[in-house]
Amino acid sequence: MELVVNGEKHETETSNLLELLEEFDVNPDLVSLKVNEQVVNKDRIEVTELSDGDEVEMLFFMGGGN
Amino acid sequence: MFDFNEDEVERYSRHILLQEVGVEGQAKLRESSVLVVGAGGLGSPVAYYLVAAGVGKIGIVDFDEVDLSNLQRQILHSTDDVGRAKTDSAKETLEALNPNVEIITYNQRLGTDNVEDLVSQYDIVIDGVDNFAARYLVNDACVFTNTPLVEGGILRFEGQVTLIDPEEGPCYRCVFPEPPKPGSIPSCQEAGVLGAIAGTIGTLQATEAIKYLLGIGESLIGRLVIYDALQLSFREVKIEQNSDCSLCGAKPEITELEEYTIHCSLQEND
Repeated sequence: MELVVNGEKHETETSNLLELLEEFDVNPDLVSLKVNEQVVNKDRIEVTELSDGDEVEMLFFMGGGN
Repeated sequence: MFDFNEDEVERYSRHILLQEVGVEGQAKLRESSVLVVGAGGLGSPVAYYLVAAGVGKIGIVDFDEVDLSNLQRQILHSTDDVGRAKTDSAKETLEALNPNVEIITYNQRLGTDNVEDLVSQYDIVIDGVDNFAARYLVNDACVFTNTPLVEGGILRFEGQVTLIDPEEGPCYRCVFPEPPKPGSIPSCQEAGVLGAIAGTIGTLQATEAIKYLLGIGESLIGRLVIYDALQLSFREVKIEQNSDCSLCGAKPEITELEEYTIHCSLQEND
């Protein structure tokens, strides 16, 4: 199916959010995840199923002011 | 009516020429106050531009001393300042730039005991902190005191910025509900950051604060702008108030400030 990940179209075999993170080699501890309009709770990542056309945002924690 | 002297009119002439600013807007800036939390990578360009712009009162909070490794991006400080308190070095640099601005420095660590009192004394707060303990503390204090906050972060070749207005839109926790696990997020000290990116994001933060103070342009509330320097791209992610937010949601679990000291062990002295 086709998702929109971080603003870009992405063809994938998986419909599971955690597996999608693995596909992108992104550690779930480093991001906050948004699927469509909804922020996904940390403990829900593993059970979140995606559908064709879903928009996924991987928003990285950024500190580093000083 | 706005009683700017000749020197001031000349100093701010390029602002005054702008229809959206004018003498009236310049007077508004002079009446305004901004608290800059952190006199480091982000705080440097933020404070520089706000002082140059003639914002009347700038508060600067930092408890750190200038380190040689700071100078690659923390442009308020110079080689001779190594070892000095960042607040002292910042004040000297900024007063030399524009003596008309009142610079108030707080050489202290932010904590639950002082943060609300500090942020509520200013019209808007700009976040330039290096650790997540302080980042959540500042967000929470701004929500509790209804103080707008320009949030910004940088890492490696990327940065992000948004405007939090507790009365109108999402807070930091709406998007990042919980502080990251201790040690999970690399700091700039560990992961590195291209110095000029602090300038890009800090300058955006200063611009957004000025827009907010003047009430001009499209607000950054509810928009997280992500900058990728390697691609040279800006991406905008819509963010919304989260009804499950533990701070500003329908049933808030957080009703008073918490100290997150456990989370800063790794990110300190960045």
